[in-house]
This record gives sequence, structure tokens and C-alpha cells, in this order.
Amino acid sequence: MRYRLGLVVLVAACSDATTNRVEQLNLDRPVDIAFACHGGLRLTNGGAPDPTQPIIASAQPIESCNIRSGPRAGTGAPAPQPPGQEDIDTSRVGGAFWYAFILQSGPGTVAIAQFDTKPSASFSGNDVRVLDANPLTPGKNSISVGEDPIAIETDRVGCYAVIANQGSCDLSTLDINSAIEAVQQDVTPIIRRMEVKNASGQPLRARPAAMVFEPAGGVIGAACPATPTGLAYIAYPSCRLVAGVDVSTGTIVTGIQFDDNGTPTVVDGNVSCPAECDGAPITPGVRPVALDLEYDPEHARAVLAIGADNSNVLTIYGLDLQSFHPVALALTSIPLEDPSGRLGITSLEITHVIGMGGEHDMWDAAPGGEHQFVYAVATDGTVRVADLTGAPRECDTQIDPRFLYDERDVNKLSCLPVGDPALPRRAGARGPGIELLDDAIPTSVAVSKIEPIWKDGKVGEPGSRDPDRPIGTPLKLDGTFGLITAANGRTFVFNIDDNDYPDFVKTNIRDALWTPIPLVIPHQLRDSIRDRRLIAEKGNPAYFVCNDPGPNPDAQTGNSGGPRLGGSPVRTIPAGTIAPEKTGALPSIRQVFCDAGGDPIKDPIGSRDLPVPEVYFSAPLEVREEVFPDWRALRGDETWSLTWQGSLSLDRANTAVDGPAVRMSQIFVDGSGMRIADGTRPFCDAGVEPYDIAQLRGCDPAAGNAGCPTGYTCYVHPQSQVVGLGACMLKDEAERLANACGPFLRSLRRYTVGRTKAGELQLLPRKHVLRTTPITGCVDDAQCKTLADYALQTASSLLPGDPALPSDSRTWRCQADPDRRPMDPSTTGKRCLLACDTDNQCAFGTICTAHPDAAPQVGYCMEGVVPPQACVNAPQRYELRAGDAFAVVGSRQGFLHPIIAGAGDACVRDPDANPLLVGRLPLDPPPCDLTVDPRTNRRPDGTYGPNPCKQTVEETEFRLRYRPNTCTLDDPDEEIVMRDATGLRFRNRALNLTIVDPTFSGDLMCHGDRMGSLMDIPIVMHGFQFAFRITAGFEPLRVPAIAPAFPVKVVRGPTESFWIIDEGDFLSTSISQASTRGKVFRVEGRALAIINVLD
Amino acid sequence: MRSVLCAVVLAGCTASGEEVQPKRDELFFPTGAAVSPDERFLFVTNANSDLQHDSGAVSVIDLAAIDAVANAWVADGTVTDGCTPDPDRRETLGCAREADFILADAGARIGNFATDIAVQDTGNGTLRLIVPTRGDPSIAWLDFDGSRLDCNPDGQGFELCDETHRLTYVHDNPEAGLVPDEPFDVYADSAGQYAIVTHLTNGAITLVDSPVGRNATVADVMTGLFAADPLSGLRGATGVAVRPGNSGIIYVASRSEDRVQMLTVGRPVNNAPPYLLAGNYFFLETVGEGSGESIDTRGVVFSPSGDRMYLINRRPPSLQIFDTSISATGFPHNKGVGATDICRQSSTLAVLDAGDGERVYITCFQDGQVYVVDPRGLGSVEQIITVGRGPYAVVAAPNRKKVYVTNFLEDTIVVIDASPTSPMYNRVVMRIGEVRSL
Repeated sequence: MRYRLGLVVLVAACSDATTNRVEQLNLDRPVDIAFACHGGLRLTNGGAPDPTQPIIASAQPIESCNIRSGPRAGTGAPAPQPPGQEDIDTSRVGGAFWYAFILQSGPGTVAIAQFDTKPSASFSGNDVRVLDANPLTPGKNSISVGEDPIAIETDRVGCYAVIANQGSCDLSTLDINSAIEAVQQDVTPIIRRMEVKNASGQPLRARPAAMVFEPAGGVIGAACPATPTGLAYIAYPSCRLVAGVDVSTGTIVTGIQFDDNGTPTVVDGNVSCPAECDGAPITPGVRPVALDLEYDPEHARAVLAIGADNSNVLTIYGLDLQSFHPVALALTSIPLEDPSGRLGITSLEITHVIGMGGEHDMWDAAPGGEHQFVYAVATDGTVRVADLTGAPRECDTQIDPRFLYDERDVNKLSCLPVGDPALPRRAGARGPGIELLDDAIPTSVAVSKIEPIWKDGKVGEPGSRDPDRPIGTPLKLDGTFGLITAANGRTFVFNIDDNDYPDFVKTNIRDALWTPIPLVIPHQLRDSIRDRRLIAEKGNPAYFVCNDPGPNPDAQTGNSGGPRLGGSPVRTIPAGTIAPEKTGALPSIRQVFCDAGGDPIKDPIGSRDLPVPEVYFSAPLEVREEVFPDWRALRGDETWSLTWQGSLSLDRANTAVDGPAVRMSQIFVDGSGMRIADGTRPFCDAGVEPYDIAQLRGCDPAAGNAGCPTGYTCYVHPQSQVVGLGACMLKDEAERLANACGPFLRSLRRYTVGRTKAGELQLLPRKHVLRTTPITGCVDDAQCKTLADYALQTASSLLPGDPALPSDSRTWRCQADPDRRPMDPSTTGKRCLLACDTDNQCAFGTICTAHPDAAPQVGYCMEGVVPPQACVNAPQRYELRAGDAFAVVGSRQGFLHPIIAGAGDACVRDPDANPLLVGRLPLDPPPCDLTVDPRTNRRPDGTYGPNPCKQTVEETEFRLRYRPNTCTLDDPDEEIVMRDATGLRFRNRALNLTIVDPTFSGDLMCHGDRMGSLMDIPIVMHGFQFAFRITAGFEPLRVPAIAPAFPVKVVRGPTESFWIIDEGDFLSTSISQASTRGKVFRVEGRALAIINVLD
Repeated sequence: MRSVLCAVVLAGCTASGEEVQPKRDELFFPTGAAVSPDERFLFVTNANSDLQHDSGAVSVIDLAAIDAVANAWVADGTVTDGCTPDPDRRETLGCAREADFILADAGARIGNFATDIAVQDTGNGTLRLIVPTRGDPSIAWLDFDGSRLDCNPDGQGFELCDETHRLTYVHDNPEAGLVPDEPFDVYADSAGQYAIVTHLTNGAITLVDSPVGRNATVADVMTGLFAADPLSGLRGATGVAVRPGNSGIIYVASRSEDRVQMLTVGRPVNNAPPYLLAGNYFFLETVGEGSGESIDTRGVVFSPSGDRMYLINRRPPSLQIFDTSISATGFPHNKGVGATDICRQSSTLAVLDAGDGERVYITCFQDGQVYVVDPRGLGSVEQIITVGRGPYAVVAAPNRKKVYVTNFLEDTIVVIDASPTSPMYNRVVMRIGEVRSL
């Protein structure tokens, strides 16, 4: 029985079928969409209307439905009618509907959806219906059109849908009248297959990759012709051709062909291609796969853009306004930046000509002049932008905002130059293109001009502002915007010309706060957080409130306000290292003075002046602006931690940002010393530098042998005092090696990193150094003794000078330690080292070992020793930690560093690295250069000042008040003081932070009086950390409430709507939700939350 | 344990031992397939999923013989003796007599329910095959001297692998533990002289030490790398591949979560058995984030350069393309660069560059199809080929410009012409074996 059961299970598992809910699906792998207008039509043939003229139900030019979808004159007013289609006495034309023809690649069919001709403001979310193309057949049916169709377009007069078939290398045409008739009656839709032919009539048997059509036209009132009309441009990558096909005959009448060098030429219909569908070999070379055609009648401009998936050159042709044929002399080739030499373009979108700039609904103003942009989805995972006006060029969307702060030239901001050394990119930018969040891969772009709806219901005209639409409301658009679909299912919104928002950073600090660069300039992902203007004010008249932490970042209604500290910084202090009364001596985020303005009687708490962290919501406005120099480099919510000698990698089980916090590799010990080797070569990537720390983590004996390979045991040396630190050793060797491996097994197993290579780190035994060693170096053993006492005393709550304070009886020697990071030449170069003759003279977890550098009979207490190879044959778990520095790590951005693999795989600093790729903060960085631009840290000669650096800053804090000559607290017991402090200025791409008090002078009489005379004494200890949450950073706006599985395309639809084509399967695991084979979403441009879902 | 199973089988039939032996020259529930590095042979595992025989088998198929028939058919429609054009598919030549292509005495018998097969190049024209089987479960290893498989010193051809060649215990030591259940995918690294086997229902990863000239052994089993599926509670390790280019980095994907785990093999200097070392990992965030998941990976392959990794997922059904080239830091980028929608229930994949850039071939078990994806740009489906019932394994022979697919449910192997210059490009030009009736 067991065997038979096994058989059933195993056989079933081989196919591993998943039972899904039975469901009726309307769509099956949609890939493209086209729109048509169908309804009542008076056959005027363009002439004057006459009630005697026949009225038919017919497909008609798109413009007919555009007019019918226009704004109504008032509530209940009839829909506008196209000229000639108005009601004349009893001659009523009737209404018309929009139809969407949804191309489905899997079955090779077209599904039909219908929606009303109504203003966009009338859409509510249940407006679009999928129709059954064959009511006599069960289920919702579509119309079979061809094999592997890839594109669908409506012909020029709106009577036919033209489909390009990749599988059969031909076109299909669908008679729209018959298709809509089929929905209502038992009528077979008329589909014709059409070969594409060259001028000689020879079929072109190449596979199409993309298709665009000449602009919609036609006469409203004319009957549909017998054949499709218009010019389609079809990309044939296998023969480097974009063919202009007259769809009435299928004949190529014009086109653009690329030669061997990728140079385009306008050709006539005398072209040929390999018969790809018959197995002929393709022509190597440039592969055009992306097309877009934009006609801007207002500016009398028509352009065709061509992109190839194996070329970085964007090809643009101006088109003749009558024939829409390419004009040979109107060629523009725009090479996109391509350092890898592998860039390609997979999708394109051209905008209309946009008058750039203007705010507060200034539709007519264009201080930035007129621009026309092309958006190219590129294979580097970005959307590249090019400006076609003036001297066509690529635009850089990733300029570091620090360098644009004072830029007021809207024209320049509309297309920032690529490669200008005066305008460096933000650190970590992949290139000049628009980057999505979290490495999402863009698939398609669509752009739409969206006119706001005014309070009085009018669209696009100056009127009364809707009180529900304050400036900067993320979901309500006013201007020109785009949507970018991403392979991960997200759809991002980006700004092109936001008529609501300013065009540059405002000069007034109150306004500058909510007009940072990423929110005001074009080609930036749109921000999703509302009420960016908020300031810590209340009352009328308003006054500043110092204890205002800002809006609740976790509110159910979403976050709001500007970037700020979320909650309180969390400080982690290793137990037993410093008494609670003395923690104020540890380094901290600079606090600034908040000058409240309220009435102390009316608001006794809110009106109090306070010291606040510089990242706090109620910090002075100038400070808030300074500490967050680039909102786009901030994440919506991120916790930053500064950990003294902290881990360089913080990935936990569910995160993958900068590598696992605990790694696993092999250790080898031989004549050249001890080294750790990893075949994945992760070390330069982790940012390891010489003199960092490798902390071996062994195994956790609490988990038994689970942390060791088969055959190994988690062995704990019986004399080890280090809790929870075992070592994987072969079961039959552990006891035997206990003695030989004793020093290693009993130590903390902490090593200094010597040479660093991508796949190997040299490990050096590490002497125990007094943590209060002056950062300028010690001078003699006596000083070390004093400082050792002081280190112990910091853990005591006793007052300074108390004779009961502990003293250190161990032996500390002031000596140079060649195995530690070299000290600055201006220092003594020596550290206080713990000396010993036996282990019991050493600190916890350190082992007394004679060292070649030690005096005779005197050893050093070592945190890690070089073991025999036999002790480390098992896999070794370990952490990589910053040596003698804070590791600054973001929970979403990780540890930022400039380390790359250089010659011989050595880890070196990238000489070209952005100076903001910094993740270490030592206690004694070089002095700040006061000649630099304070915003950019750039010197007049173009070089950069040191980062991090130190300088004296003003620190504001509460200080305890004591009665004179006592340590008894007075009343009030504290006061706000401002004092000069050593500040460590740290700049990364997201933050400008100042950490104060890297060292402590000590107290003289009472806790916190700071009157001691110690010089340059740090009291930070291994593992000391402060962490803080920065909230309301940049969170890009995504189309809400939709969850496409795999959106492949976004298309601009009627009435400024966007249509997202989701090709992907959604496999439901819920009884309440159907599995689908693709969906289509209609997104209302003016109100992105209004969405129709077709599936 | 094994004797108990044997007793059950014997009690259920009256046939003699020879009668229940599988035939040497037939396909029966073919699952895994692998092409020899010199492209002379195709090795196919027969799973014996209906247990009609007393064992599964590995068949050795002569690819030159296939080419001779297929190329003549494609070139001028020549129908070789024993084959007939498929009346339903005019481009396909049906060759029901698989004995014309299977080297009858070169095969060997293994356990039931073989899942996959991997080839280790042991030099001098010799190979070693690693075959996980789910019935025991065990991992068989078979040496190939260029003419026949050997997994039993007493064998005289088509022998049943002996105990030494069927690995059921870690370190060959019952006390060290059994090979975990449900072995799934296998990858053999010739340079590293090891193989990796993944396990579908417990997330374990088994390391097989396979030194040239010495016996293979199960050296290590690593568990706990993958989170459990929140619905089923199961953990699954599935697709496995080693990045080419002497990096020795193993990539393992999961059925139960969206993690791709990197591993290496450590060899202690004291000649103790090698072990697995878990390295960095990354998540499949390229596809499916919007719909809540990107899990149930079924296969992973690399481009020959190692700069691209192709991965197939079932939730959502997708081919995902990753840039695995070495970054400036010396570490692979491991960044998603493209993706495309594919069939539901994809099983395995193969990558082939037959002269027009790489193409990815993906088997669709449920639909009986092979998807051909052009990974250029962001990736797009170039062709959907109907191949037969239950396609499972797909392998490619770049020099022969052919792709071979095992049809598990119909006992056939189909040959796809992958030459971009062929009039039969990406068509099934040949089917080997008699189609099992429904």
C-alpha cells in the first residue's frame, strides 16, 4: 500500500499540476490596444447636414467620439455633437460609443470592449465593458485575427483595425463595422489577411516587431471605405527596415532602412527582406524594434522615432505633413550615453510640443520655451530622455540637486546636458535616464496632457481652483505627465510639465522647503507624499512649535509633510560600558536651537524653546533644507544606523541590500599567515578596507550541530568565557584538538583585516587597545594607565573625583601597533595596548600571547590569534566590520562605499567614485575646507573638500543645573545652552549629517558639567550605535490599487486616459479571487485612483 | 527498507525478473536529458513512472544518427526507413522505432522516478552521469567510457547500478543521515568535481563529491536556506546551476520563496569531505511584485559566458533575465534586466546560441509546448512550438543546432531544428519513439 500510494503521489508530482479555480476569462495575454468610434452617423460626406441624409450605424473618425466626450454645458446638458451630426428636427443621429480592440497574442485574437462617450470627469470605475464577439458561442469570445500578433492600430479614418502578425509575417485587417455587428448579431466579423509587398509586388516575409500609424483623420459623415486607409510604419528588425505600408494595398511606399554601419536612409518601396517566416537567415545589424509617431497639429509638426534593441542611437525623422512620409533631410540621430556599448531601446514615446514651465495653472505661460521630448525605454533599466527641439540632444535626469539649487533657467532645467562636469550626477545613478525604484525594469511609457477640472466643471480653462486639489496633490494632475510601466507590476507616474508646481527651487526658505529639485523639474518620478509644505507651526497667527514631531508617518491616510526624523533616535550602548548618568558624553546627532513663537500662557508646552536634532521636523527651516539635500536619494522610509566598528553588511533573512550580516567562508592558515577566502568574491563589493575587522562567529551551541556541516560538531572549549561562541570541528577531532586550538577557541576571534582582495582577506591577530586611547595618540604608559582608569570609571555612576571610583590594575603600554590603521603623522602614532604575561591579566575574551614586537617576557592581550589550520578546517561564519569608524548604513540603501576590485583583484578606492559614496565616519577626519561651496562641498577649482570632515559647530542642549559648588540639582534642574563642539560633517547622497562630540573632555565635579581637562579622548565602545528613522523621504507615485502581473505596455487613450496592458498571468490562491490570463486597466488621467479593470 | 519495497513489487506481479526488466532500447516516461560535451550522445532518464518495469533506466542516444535522419528530412524531405511523416504536422518526421537511435548496450538501469540528469566531464572522453531518483530516494552515479555506461562492476551491459553507485546515505554512513526526500534538479560541475542536487519539498541542497577516478559520495546536505511557503508550509529548493567562467558560484532558486541563494563548495585542506558554503542571496523583484509574489522557480540556466542568468518561475509564469556579469567590485551584478510572460506550468529551460544570438527554450508541461524566448531587449516570446504531451526536459546541442525535448507523458523525444538559417527553424522536425496512447 505504501508503495502504491507512493506511486500516485510521485506520478502526480511529476507534472506538479496546480488546481486553480474554474473561471471565465475574458482576456488571454493582451499585448496591445487600439480605439475606435462607432455609432450613429449622418452621411453628409463632409457637406452641410440635411435631415434627408441617411443615418447609419457605422465606424467613424476618432474625432467624432472625441467631440462627443467633451465637457457638457451643464448638468443634464446633452453631449456635444460633431459638426453635421447634430439633431435636425426629427432627424436624430443618435449616440456613439468608444470601442477598444484588445489584441491578445496567445490565441491570436482581438477582444472588444465598449465605453461611453462622456467627459473624463464622469468616469467612475465601472465604465468599460468587455463584449462577447460571438453571442451564440458560450463564454466571452474574441475574434481570431492572426498568428502571434504583436501590434494593433486603427486605420486613418477609424473603420478598420490593422494588426501586425509576427507569426505569419503579414497583416490582418478587421472591419470594425462587422466586428461590432458581430457583438449584436450572428454575423461573422470580416478579417482579411494582407501580405506586405514591396513596390514590385513581392511579398515581404519578415517578422514585424512594432507598428505605428499615421495620425487619425477622415471626414465625419463619410461612409467607411471598402479597404483600410492610411500609412502604417512597421519595424522589421531582421532586415533593418522600418517600412511605410499603404494599408489599402499592403504595399510599401516609403520607409527607412539602416545600412551596415547603422546609418538610416529614406527608401521607397523597392526594398527586400529575408523571408524570415520561411526560414531565411536574417540580416545582421541594427534591429529596429521600437517606433512612435507624433503629430502635433498645433505646431504643424510630425515626427517618427525609431529605436533598436542593439543600438544606442535614437533615430528621428520629420514627416511630411501631407503624406506623412519621412523627409530625408529631417533626420536627427541622437546617440544616447552608452558606456557599456550594449545599450538598446525597446519602447518609445514622443510628446507633443510642450510649453515648459509655469505654475499655478499657468497653461499659457512657457518660461522654459517649447520642447518636444522622446522617452526611450532602454536596456540599462532606465527611461532615457531626449529633447527634439533646438539642437536635439539627450537630457540628463539624474543631476545631483545640490548643483541645481540656484538654477532658475527653466529652459535649461527642461533638458539638462549630459556630461557637463559642472553638473555631476547623483551618487549611484546608473546613467542619465529616469530610474525607477528598487531596480524595477521599465517596459513602456505613455504621455498625456492633462488639463485640470475646475470647480465649476470646466476643463482646461482658468477657473476657480478645486478646494480639494491643493497644489501638489499627488493624484491630481495638471500639465503633461507620463506613466511608466515596470516588469514588476508597478506603474510609475513622472512629471514633465507640472503646471501646478513651481519650476525651480524657490528662493524664500519657506517655499524652498517644498520645492526641492526632484519635485519641480521635468523627467522626475512624481512624488506621492502630500502636504509637503507643512511646517511646525500652528495657530492663527501661526507660531513655531518646537515639540512638533510632524505628521504621524504611519497614519492610515498615508504619510505627509517633508522629510524628517520619525520617532526618536535609538541609542544602543553595550552593557557595562558607561553609566546612565554619563551617556550624554557619547557622540550624538547635532542638536539645534528651536525658537518657538507661541504664547506661553495659551500654549505652555508648545511655546517652549527646545534643542532639537537637526533632522527633526521643528528644526529651523534652513537646517531642514540643509540636512536633506536630495529628496530623490532618500527613501520613503528608511532607518539609518551609525555603529562604532559596525557591520558593513546588514542583510537579514528577508532583505538583500548589501550582503548577509554573517557570512560563511573558509579560512586557511599557512606560512603566509591567516586568510579568509570566498569563491563568490564578495569582499570589495562589501566595501572592506584594510584595518577593518573580521569577527568570527563560529557556531551557536544552542542550536546543537545544526550550524555545522554533516560530520561536524559545534564544539565549545570548556575554558571559553565567550558565551554562545562554538566552533564547527570534525566530531572525531574536536576533543583531540581542544588543547592545540585552545587560545583560538577561547578568544573573541576578532581579527584585523590586512590585505583585501575581491575573494580573499588577510587576517591579522588583533591586540586589545584601550578604547580611551587619545585620537592623537598616547604619549606614555602613565597616560595609558590614567586613561585606563578613566575608561573603567565611565562605567561607574560615582561622581568625578570620588575615591571609590575604580582603577585599572592591568598593564597598559603606549606603543605603536603596526596591525592597526596608521595614525595621522601629526599624532604620536601610538596606542595604549594591554600587556600581559598570563591570560588572567587580559580583558574578557582576549588571550595573552607573546608577540615579536613585545618586550621580553611581556605579551599582548589578543582579541584573536592565528590558530593551527586544523582548528579552522570547518566553514567559518564571520562578520565584516568597519575598523576605527562608525559604519553608516541605511536599511534600504545599505553601506555606501567607493571600493572596487583593482589590479590583481585588490580592493581599491574607485578614483572616479562620487564623493558622496561614503559609509564610514571616523572620529578624527580631516578638517573641513572652509573654501568649499557649503551646499556641494566643491572647491572653486572643481575638486571636493574632504568628506567626512570635522569643524567646530554650535551644539544646543539641555544642561543640568546644579546649586553653586554642589552636585545637587537646582530648580529648574536644566537649562538650554549653546556651546561650541567638535562636529563631524558627514555627507552621503541622502543626508548631510553632523555628529557632535567624538571625544569627551570629562566632567570635573558633577555629571555632565563638561569641565574636565581630558584632550581628544574618545569614549565610544565597540558596538555603540545610534539609529534613527527618516520618514517622508521620496516615495514615487504609483498608480494605486492595481496589481498587474506583468504590464507590457501603457497606451494613451481617449479623453486623456491611460490604458495599461497586463500580459501576465495572475494565479490566484484565494477562493475569492479569480486567476486571470492578463488584464487591461483604464486609468483616468485626471484622477489616477479612478480605474476600470478588464480581465 | 529496499527489501520491503522489493517484496511489495514482487507480490504485485507474477512476471519473471527478465520480463519486468525494461527494454534496452525503449523510452518509458522520459524525464531528464543531457547532452555529452562533445555532442555525440544524448543521455535520457526513463522514470518508469507506471512501475511496469523493475527499474528505471538511462538511455544513451546517438545524436549523429538523429542528425542523419533529421538533416536529410529537413534538407530535401528524405524519409529514412522506419520513419514516417507525421500526418498532422507536415514538418515532423515520426520515427517510432527508438531502437534505431538508442545504443542498446550502452545504457544502464537505475532506480525509479529519475528526475534529471547531469553530465560531469571526467576527461579523456569519459563522463560521469549524476542522476537523482525520487523512488528511494537516491542519487545514482554512472561512469561513461565513451561507449557504455558502467555502474556495476559485475554488469554485462544495461546493468542495474549497484549499491556503491546508488547514494542513499550522507558520507555513505547510515548514521550520518539519509539523502533527503524528493530530489529535483541536479547540476554537475566538471571543474569542481562535484554535483549539486536540490530537493523539492524540504529545501535541502545536497552536495555530491565526485572526484575523477574515485567513487562519488554525498558529502554534505544544507537545509534552512529557504523560507517556507506560507500556504503549504513546504520549503523547496529547485533550479540549480553554476555560473560559468571558473567562478564556481552555485545559484539555487526556490519553490517556496523568491530567493536565489549563492553557494560555493569548500574543500578542507585535511581531505575531509567538501561542504557547502552559503554566500550572498538576492530576491526576484523583477517580476510579480505588483501581484504579490515571484516564487515557484523551476529552472535556472546561464549563458555560456556566465553574464546572463535565465530563470523560469511559475508564479507569475515568467522568464526572468538577470545580468550576472562581474561588476567593478568583482562580484556578479545579479540584477534583473528583462522578463517575459510565458506559459503556466513551465518545467525546465535551456539556452542556445545557434548563430543568431541566444534563445531560451522552455518546456510547458501542461500545454505540451515549448516557448522560445528571444532575450534581446527586455525579452519576448519568439515562438510557441507544440511538441507533444508532457514535455519536461529540454537540452540543446549548439554545434548541431538542435534542441531535444523529452515528452514524459507520451514516451517520446522530439527534435527541434534550432538553426536560424533552416526553413524548419524552431519546428519539431523529428519525433523519436512510439507515442504512448492516452
